[in-house]
Amino acid sequence: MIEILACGPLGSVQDLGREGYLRFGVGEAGAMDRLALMIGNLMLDNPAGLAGIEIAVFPFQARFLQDIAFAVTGADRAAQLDGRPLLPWWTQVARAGQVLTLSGSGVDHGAGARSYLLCEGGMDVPLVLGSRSTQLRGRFGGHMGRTLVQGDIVRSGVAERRGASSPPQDCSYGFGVLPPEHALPWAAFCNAGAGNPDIATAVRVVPAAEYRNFDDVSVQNFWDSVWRISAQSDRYGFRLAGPGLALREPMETRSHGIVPGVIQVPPNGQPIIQMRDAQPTGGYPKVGTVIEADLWRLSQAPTGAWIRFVCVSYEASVCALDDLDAYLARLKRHIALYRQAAA
Amino acid sequence: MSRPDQAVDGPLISVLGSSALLFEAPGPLSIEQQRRIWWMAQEAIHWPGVREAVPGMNNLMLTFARAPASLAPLESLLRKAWSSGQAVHKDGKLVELPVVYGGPAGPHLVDVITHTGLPLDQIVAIHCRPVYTVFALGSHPGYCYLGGMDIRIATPRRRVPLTNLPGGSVSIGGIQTGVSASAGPSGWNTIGRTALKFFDPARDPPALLSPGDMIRFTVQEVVL
Amino acid sequence: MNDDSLMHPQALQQIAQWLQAADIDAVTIESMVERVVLSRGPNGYSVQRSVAAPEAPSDTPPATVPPRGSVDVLAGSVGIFLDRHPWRSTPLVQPGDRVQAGATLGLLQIGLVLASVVAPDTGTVSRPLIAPGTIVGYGTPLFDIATGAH
Repeated sequence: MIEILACGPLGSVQDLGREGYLRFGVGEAGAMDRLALMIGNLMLDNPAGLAGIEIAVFPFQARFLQDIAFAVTGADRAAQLDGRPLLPWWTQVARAGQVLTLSGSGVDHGAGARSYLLCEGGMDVPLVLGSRSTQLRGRFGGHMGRTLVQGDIVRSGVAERRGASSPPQDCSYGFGVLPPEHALPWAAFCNAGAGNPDIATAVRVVPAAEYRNFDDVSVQNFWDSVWRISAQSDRYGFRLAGPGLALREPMETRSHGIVPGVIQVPPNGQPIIQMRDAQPTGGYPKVGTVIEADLWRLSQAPTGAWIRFVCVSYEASVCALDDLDAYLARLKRHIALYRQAAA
Repeated sequence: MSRPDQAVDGPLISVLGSSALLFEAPGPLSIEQQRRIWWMAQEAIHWPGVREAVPGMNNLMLTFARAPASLAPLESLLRKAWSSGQAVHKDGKLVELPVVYGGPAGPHLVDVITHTGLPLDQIVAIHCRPVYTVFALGSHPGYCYLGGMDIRIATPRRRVPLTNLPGGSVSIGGIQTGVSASAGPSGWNTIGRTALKFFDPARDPPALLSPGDMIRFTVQEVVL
Repeated sequence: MNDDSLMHPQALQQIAQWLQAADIDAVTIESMVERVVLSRGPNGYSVQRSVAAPEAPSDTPPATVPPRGSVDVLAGSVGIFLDRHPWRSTPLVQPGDRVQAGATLGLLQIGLVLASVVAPDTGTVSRPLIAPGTIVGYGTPLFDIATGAH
């Protein structure tokens, strides 16, 4: 069990998302950086999709109420356990009573935006419509259908982990993994430095149906510009600041299904990238869709950071997913080998 | 680069990243086309690689269980299904929604009056007369896109959306009307409120209404 | 010093597994007294042993027998020795730091995993005995800790 001692707004229990209910108006929700969630679970020998706590505002502080293995992945927020520094992307066993703190300051590495706290057995909140993700509009799923506040107690599903009969592995010093940036082959990227347009996170985009309805200048601007993630950005969507994108002529828009990553252009011409809590339907023209394999990278770009778009084909977007799968399989093998050796 | 597939005046098929295909029927929005979309949705859930079939307003999104190497098979199945002309003809259930019009529950009824120039009792009567068909669900859990509103009471969406309207809010946005199923923001003109519960995640199916069902609004009260 | 041979058969097997998993074709591992090269062939990894090169290059700390009142901190595995986390610009410890038993002094990158190099005892830590970025083998001394009363 974990007791929340301090938590800014926007902290919530999330797993990989709620699939298969879009036709009822239920969006997927789920972790913004699904890769960080999965990797934390792999480090704990959990099934990859168990729920964790997504933390977007810092400082964050929690007390472990039982002996349990945990992992902290995602953005680097100078994690400490009982005041002793924890390295980034690290797993360790906590003793009952120990306090985990993620402080406000991003350390010397580029900022990142969201951290994930995983624990052995995952966060044990009820499954609702097949998922433990928090559905904020409609208030169900996750921890009581809402964001976390001080005083909340979140149970861990220790019984759910594989090999439930064995006690927590005594990796007292813990171990870590290389952050994903080091291993994923799309090496053209470097992470966004807030405030510096020369360092822009590049994300791959497949053009969408209305791409051809934008005028030539707008299309040029879409690919060539660096776009700033404005302060009006959150789990619903990233509102971008940059050149206005204009249609050749007004067009009728009809509500249709959308997915996270869809880039809509409302009448004011400023694109909005739909993120995990976006409505499952949209009515604005779409210029393109950020590929699923890059959503984790996009989600770690903080407010004020710069991004740019790179045009790719559908086929390339599928290759990118294959690359992610291969990386995760490799990571899983390496962790297994390490655990074997350390046991 | 992914190319939309479009015969002249034919349906448009496009891709959403690596996650979904979107099929859009051509021509004006109609209930007849929507019935064909419903039929396609029923078929599509059995096609290989499809996770979910999500009807929209004369369109259909297919989400992938896993991104297929080629989109051609699903595109072909979509075109064939559309060309077959098959449609769902059976009507769904009719649900009556008692509405409290105006007052604190309908803060923008005055704006509809101002915009249309019609008196309040006529606006309410026009809103209540049709049987509205549920075209699709979307937007938020349990929310229904309705067809059939009389355009005489059409009122443009608001310039400044309200951030938090309660669930059950009955609104007019442009030529459409709808009822929210939970508290949340709205850029539409809220004219009243209904107490009916549209969504319960503990139920199966979790939504009260399905595409093809119908709604009739009735007057519970008019608050001046 | 019979624990100088860094390659027990089980350790060799394990290393070969890691190399396979990490898709590395060959690795050279050095200790004070021997050099071992594992290289991938059609039938798995083969091992070649030789006596270590007599003198280290001038920018490597000279190999020393740890003085009395001092303990070695040895690599627990083959891997790439790091003195800091890839996301940190400062090393985990500075030479002369007083460290507690159990403190993390450095890291071993083993494929995608980062393992702690842990102080076995409380004392004053030396500078790294191996240049960060070097592939080391099981048992390679990485630091000294002076445990004598301060």
